[in-house]
Amino acid sequence: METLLQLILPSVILPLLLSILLWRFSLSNSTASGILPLIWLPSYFWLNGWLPLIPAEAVHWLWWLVIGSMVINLMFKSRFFLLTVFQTALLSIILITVAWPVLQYKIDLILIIEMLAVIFTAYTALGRTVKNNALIPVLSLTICFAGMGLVVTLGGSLLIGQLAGAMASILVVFACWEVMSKQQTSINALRLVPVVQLYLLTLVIARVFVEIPLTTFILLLIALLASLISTIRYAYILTVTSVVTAICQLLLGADVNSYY
Amino acid sequence: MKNKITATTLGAAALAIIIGTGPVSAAVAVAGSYTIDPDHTSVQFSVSHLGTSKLVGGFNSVAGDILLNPQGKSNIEVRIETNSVDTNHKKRDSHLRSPDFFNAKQFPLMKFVSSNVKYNQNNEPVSIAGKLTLHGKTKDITLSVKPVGAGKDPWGGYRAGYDATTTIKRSAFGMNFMQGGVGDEINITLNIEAIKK
Repeated sequence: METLLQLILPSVILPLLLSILLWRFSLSNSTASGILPLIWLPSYFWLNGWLPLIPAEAVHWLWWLVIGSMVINLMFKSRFFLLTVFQTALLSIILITVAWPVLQYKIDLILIIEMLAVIFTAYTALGRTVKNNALIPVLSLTICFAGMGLVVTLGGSLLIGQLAGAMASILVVFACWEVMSKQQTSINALRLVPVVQLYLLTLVIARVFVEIPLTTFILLLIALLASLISTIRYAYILTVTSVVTAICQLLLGADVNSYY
Repeated sequence: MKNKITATTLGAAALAIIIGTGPVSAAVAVAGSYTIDPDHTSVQFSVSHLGTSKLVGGFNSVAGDILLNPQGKSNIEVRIETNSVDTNHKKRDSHLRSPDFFNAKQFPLMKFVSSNVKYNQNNEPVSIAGKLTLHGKTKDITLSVKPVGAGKDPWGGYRAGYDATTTIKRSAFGMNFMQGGVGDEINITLNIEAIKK
């Protein structure tokens, strides 16, 4: 029981409570969505066991990406082109840094292509949504994070699965609000850029270090892309289809009997 | 005919096993340079699981060099591939290789390099202090050594065997994940067989 609590406290209960508090006591929706990525950090620090100021491993870069992305958001919030360029540059630099320990032993062309695909996705999707001042359906993003958490946990890393699960737990409060208030969305795309960046980096880490299958990786990438560029109705359908296919593919294609 | 072949094959296999695994002698190892024989060396570890039992595992890929010199500078280096972790459970091994624990993609090698080797009155190594690099971190550890035997092997070479043990805290090497379920203290045992160069 104690072990179970240890698993769900940082990945479900703490982020859920913080998210409810943020939603309940925020002065405005804009403030809430702006702070949203920050309330993921307590879970992150808890799961890592310490504050990784100097990154030594891939997961140590996650919080730097979130902070960096939020700073860029603040600096260029009205200059969309610069914002997209700097956000993409930040993700590219961190992706290369994260993959370098693997690439230095063996230059893997497939891996390089996959990373370029992620960077291209980030650039086009972020550029489009930010420029159009578009809205991102939070429910769709919640499904993406929850799906990735489940896939990575089944794929072999409970830590990365929990990190993704923690973000899903934060987003689910806003997703419920979105669904119950029957609004198309509650959060502007610009506010969710750090969350999107976090998803992309976590996905690459899962692919490189946990070795989730390539098709699963592509499906989870499509799930996010659908959330960003599709119309709301199609976004839900595409995201759910991609995530469910990714989970089923992993369940059917491998021995996933849990031993945790 | 078939039975005869089977009997001959079995006889040869039994002979090979006896020759291959039979003790050479229990003498004191002579000073000199040795190479660790990966086929007859094992690295095992045990760790508490949920505080109720000990889980035992090992690494299948071990290499290294030993220079024994009781009168001068001794040097021991052991290299272990973290990707070769084996706990007799495929999914668990995959989890152990992930960033949750060994992060084998980023840190493919675990290495021990000695800094000080202590010998007993019979010039047998009994304690080896050195640096263990694991998970990107290097820490001082000390191995307690028990000589097992040494002598000529059936192929004209010279072999020496040692059992070495130590206990480390995985948190000291930045492996903090699942501290409640998986114990912090790891008992490590190396059963080394080395061939004289």
